[in-house]
Amino acid sequence: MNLLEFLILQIALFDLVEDILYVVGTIFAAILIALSISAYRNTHLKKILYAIIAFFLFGVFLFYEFLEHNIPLDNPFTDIILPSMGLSILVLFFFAIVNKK
Amino acid sequence: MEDKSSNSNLNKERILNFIQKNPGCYLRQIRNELALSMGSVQYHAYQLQKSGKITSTRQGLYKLHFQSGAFQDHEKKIFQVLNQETPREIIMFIIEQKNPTQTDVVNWLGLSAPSINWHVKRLIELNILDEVKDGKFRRYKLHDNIDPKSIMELLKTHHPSLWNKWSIRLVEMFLSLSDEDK
Repeated sequence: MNLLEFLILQIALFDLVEDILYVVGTIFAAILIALSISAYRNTHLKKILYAIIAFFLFGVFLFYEFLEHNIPLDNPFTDIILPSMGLSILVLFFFAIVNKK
Repeated sequence: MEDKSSNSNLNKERILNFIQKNPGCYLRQIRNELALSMGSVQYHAYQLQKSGKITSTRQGLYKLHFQSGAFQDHEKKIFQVLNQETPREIIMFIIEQKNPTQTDVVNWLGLSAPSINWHVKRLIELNILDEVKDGKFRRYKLHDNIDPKSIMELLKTHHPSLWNKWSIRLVEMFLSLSDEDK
């Protein structure tokens, strides 16, 4: 890490921006969950269920990151949990696309 | 005291009239059109439903209201479809063009073939559309029991909400990404 990067990381504003991005991302995930639930109730299309779970996981992912950033959770599994969530989201979208029914 | 009661009865009567004239309307629509408070609309709608004068059916986040006995379940489904953007546009195009082919509908709406197929299948299942084979083409027309004039009247009064539009677009996005029904 060079000196400039180190100094930037010390600025409180960057922490604030990071928190705002996590919160906005979580709110968007919640809107997408509600939208996909509404779409499922209107159409009963099974592949929308994958989207609901994927958006839910994405919301949890961002909220967990937010918690990690503000309250150190010291969870030794964090390094496994977060990439697993990312992978699960991609797998769910993949299934939503390839699943026939 | 009497004034309050007659006012309340008047509002109830106005709501009932509105529902009779606008079958399938939802509470927010009634509130906006009659300039009443949401609490008052909810209260009267509940009372009217309890007394059996109206019925309601849920569609997503909305409750659609109907005069009791005026509509069959099948007709209520038509209202639900008319509140969705793409099926509504497909029906309008078919009324306008009479017997368009599947390709005409896809080109006109600019959506993917799987999305159009999926919507058309639902409309055929609901007995709103019929599919007619014409050589190697598939043509669509309104079901024989559906009167285009009455559908046009309903299309004027039923508009999809923004939320409904977005939720259907989400479905279309997934349908376009998959090659279902191609």
